[in-house]
Amino acid sequence: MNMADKAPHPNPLPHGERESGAHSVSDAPDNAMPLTSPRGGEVGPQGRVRGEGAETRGPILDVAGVAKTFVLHLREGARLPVVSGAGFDLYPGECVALGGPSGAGKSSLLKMVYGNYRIDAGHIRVRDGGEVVDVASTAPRRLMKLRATTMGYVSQFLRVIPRVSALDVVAEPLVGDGVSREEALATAGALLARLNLPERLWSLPPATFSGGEQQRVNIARGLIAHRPLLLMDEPTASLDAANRQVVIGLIEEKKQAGVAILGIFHDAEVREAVCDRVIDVTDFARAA
Amino acid sequence: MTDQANQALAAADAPLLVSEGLSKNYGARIGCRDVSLDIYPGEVLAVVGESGSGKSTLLGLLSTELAASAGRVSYRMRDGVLRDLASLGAAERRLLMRTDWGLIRQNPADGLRMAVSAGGNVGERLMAVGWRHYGNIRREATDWLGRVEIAADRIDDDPRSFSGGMRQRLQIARNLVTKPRLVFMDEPTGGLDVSVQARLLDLIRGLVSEMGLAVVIVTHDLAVARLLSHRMVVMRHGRVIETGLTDQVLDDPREPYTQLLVSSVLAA
Repeated sequence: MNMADKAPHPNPLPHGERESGAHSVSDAPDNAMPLTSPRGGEVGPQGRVRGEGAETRGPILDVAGVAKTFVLHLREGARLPVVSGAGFDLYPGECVALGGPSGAGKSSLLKMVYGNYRIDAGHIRVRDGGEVVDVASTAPRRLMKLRATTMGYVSQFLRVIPRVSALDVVAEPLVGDGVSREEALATAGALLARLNLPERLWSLPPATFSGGEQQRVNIARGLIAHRPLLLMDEPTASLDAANRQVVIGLIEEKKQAGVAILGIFHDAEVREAVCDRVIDVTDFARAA
Repeated sequence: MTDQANQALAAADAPLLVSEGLSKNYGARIGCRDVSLDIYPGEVLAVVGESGSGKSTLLGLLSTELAASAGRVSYRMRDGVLRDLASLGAAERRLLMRTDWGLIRQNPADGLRMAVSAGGNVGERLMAVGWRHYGNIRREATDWLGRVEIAADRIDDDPRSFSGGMRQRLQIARNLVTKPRLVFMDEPTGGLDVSVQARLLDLIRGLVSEMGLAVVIVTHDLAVARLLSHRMVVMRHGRVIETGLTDQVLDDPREPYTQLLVSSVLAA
């Protein structure tokens, strides 16, 4: 059952043609990044050339023709179009920002890639080892496995679980990967120390933490395990300058390890430090 | 590509419980209509809906406490063979229920023997699977009381002297002591204070992942479903009207009724 079969394709342009539009500089105020084409192997903003090996292996994420409209049945079936004809690729080792003004659908698009929001048309293909999985049409169980091994998500806010300590919240993904509890807790502690979270907080459930403290727990949880594809929604929104620098360093390390990152980075300093290009979501929203 | 991946996955782990076209009528009234679903090892499936939506009837049918008007339920026995539960003899089914399955009821008094000591409640299930040595039974029962956070010195007290939260934790120990593979839970946190609920949910969450249990949990509390379950089915008028990963259904509900359910609760 492919969802793309059920709904008419809203955009007749083939994927390749859409993509040039997707990468064009727009009038969005947010768009401060130089734009590069991953296929052309152009030099990135920091003078790095994207890895040759990565390119021959193809994208880890391939989004094409994605359309989404919310239908609000409690509001007389009001329709809220989010995006239409959204398409882009993401390659190992690069960090790409979703750009565009507030309300353009950046977070929604990120949630669609994660499979949190379902889509009406198009495909979202993620390379998972030797397989390619379409998030939009795969079985729920396959999506669960994809999230457990390949695709991580760092949300803006921590979902607090009663009675579970910060250290356990952070260590959980590693334990899920089969790492021993002792080793996972040690790694979690090292990461929290690096993010300057006071050690006296580690054994407490994060419910009473400040916004910035919760966000650091969230980032540590999102980055502790290796996931080849990371989705990040404003990872530094509530952080001070020193901790922003720590997060920039952590993201750099992920990129060096070949992790592909798709994120929303409102903070210009962070965006310029880590992102190789910006995809302007305004075009997809306008089409919707 | 995706189909191949799904096939590979299906071969790697097969469903534990399968229901096909399950229906139940109470006279002219429909309890449950044409429900087909799979539950896999280690997976928590939440069944949500309002009172009268058929979710408790579905739980009764899946656990064979109720006889279906149509359709069937199959279970993968420990030998790996998927068997139609209606084809099992009464003795075979009883053995399955007290060894490989657990059933946590909303009211612990319905799932416990209230005049038997806490240790006896836990030990009884062990004796049912052949344990005979008193010392071993008592040791195992003490260990399980500890795992559900009941002090060892309460082992000889009977559950009538326990609080609601303690009784529910005792019911969990009684059900999990035989290391079942599949546990049915019917509103396990219903009727408990919020703070008691949080403790119980944390306990259930830990035990489920530690033991790799498959769980079917019926709840009207979407926050409970969010915390515990991987997948969700939404029921209305006896039918399953929406399914998906729990976060999909709660964050992007499609059906009018699901949107109503999700929008009717305070942020979960």
